[in-house]
Amino acid sequence: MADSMRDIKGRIKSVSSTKQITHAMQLVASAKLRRTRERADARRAYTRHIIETMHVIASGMDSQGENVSIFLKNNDSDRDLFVVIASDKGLAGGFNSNVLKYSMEKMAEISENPVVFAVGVKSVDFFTRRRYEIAGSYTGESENPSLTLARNIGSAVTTMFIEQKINRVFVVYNRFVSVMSQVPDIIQLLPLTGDSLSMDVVDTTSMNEEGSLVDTERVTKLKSVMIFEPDAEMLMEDLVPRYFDNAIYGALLESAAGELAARRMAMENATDNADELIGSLTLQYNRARQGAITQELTEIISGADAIS
Amino acid sequence: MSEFIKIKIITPERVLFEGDVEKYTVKSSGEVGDFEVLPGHVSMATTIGLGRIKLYLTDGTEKEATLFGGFNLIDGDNATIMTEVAEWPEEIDLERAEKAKARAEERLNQSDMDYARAHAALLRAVERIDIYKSKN
Repeated sequence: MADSMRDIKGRIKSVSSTKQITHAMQLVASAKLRRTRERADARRAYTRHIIETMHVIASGMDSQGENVSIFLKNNDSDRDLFVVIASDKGLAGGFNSNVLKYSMEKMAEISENPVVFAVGVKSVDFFTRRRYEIAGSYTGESENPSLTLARNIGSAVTTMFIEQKINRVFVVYNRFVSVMSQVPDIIQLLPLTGDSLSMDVVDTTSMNEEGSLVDTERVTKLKSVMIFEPDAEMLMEDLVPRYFDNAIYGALLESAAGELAARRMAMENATDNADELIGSLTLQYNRARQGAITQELTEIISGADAIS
Repeated sequence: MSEFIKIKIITPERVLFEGDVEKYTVKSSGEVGDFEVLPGHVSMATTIGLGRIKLYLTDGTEKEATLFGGFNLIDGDNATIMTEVAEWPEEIDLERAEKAKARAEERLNQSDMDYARAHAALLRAVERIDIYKSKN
């Protein structure tokens, strides 16, 4: 009896210390999540301005459509690049497995010749194990992605595109819907399409009824009086890479927010489970203790009876 | 026409500055020299070179920040500057800028390195060190 009591006590102790860890991780994830969401808001405001400016400039260009930028044109390569964003660490519920499974399905569905660009340790591991062709990888910043990371990915990807090693470029990531839900999503980055240029591809919530971010009235008013220096075509060349890097940055931030929210949820559940476990173990312990006392009393009483 | 320009400097990470100024100057792209914008400037869209922005505030003081390339949209009395990197002098990490300068200089001496990139890195580092020293 004494042995089992000690066992139970040991288990309660170990569950409590696990609970302390999961609770701490939950708090850390919530704090980081708040910061990441602030950054995502700042990026959204910036994206609005870039897109609006692109529209003003596009309207001032002599040549329309195809001549605008090589980023708008298909090339001869038959390979498609999938930038798959997952997290560096686990303990985030189904966050990673959802997006990785989804990316595999999408690749099989829309591409005959997929190449992977893996971002995040979990993504790299997953595709290495499955022997996918990996064109590049970045790890170490999944919780707190920097703009520099986005630009590095952007320039690696555009270089491959310009060298015609790849044709289409997709980004697969977890879209942050709410703190309760993150949904895997895919967006096409290259070649750029007219539609994608009028919206914030990674955040469709802030668009107007026509599915566009652009305030048409303002654009019309602006373009009638606007001077372009040096000229509209050159300005567009300058803006497109900004737009592109920014879209990648947005996907990284959405994924980071999703990861932190998923981890917060997972850790909250773990903490709740630990509480429950501690409760039932304590009950078991008390029963065992009571049993031991009862037994001892019975022994004493029966001993006393024997003497008298 | 108002006496002031409403300027907004935004980066993907934050809004660096938003408010009224009497005028401001930025580096012009391409050619050497500054580009000054006064109230009543014609509406225009243009790019900005590597350098700094100088804001002449309405209370008579001046404020400077680094501004490494970007996009300048002037629309009546409103100006929007979109840039990827902009920072106040007090945010500059001097040690890091000096290291970056040394690294860029070393790269410029190696012929096989990407010249344009190393040159831009050097310009950035020099500007950071410069603006830091002028304010501290």
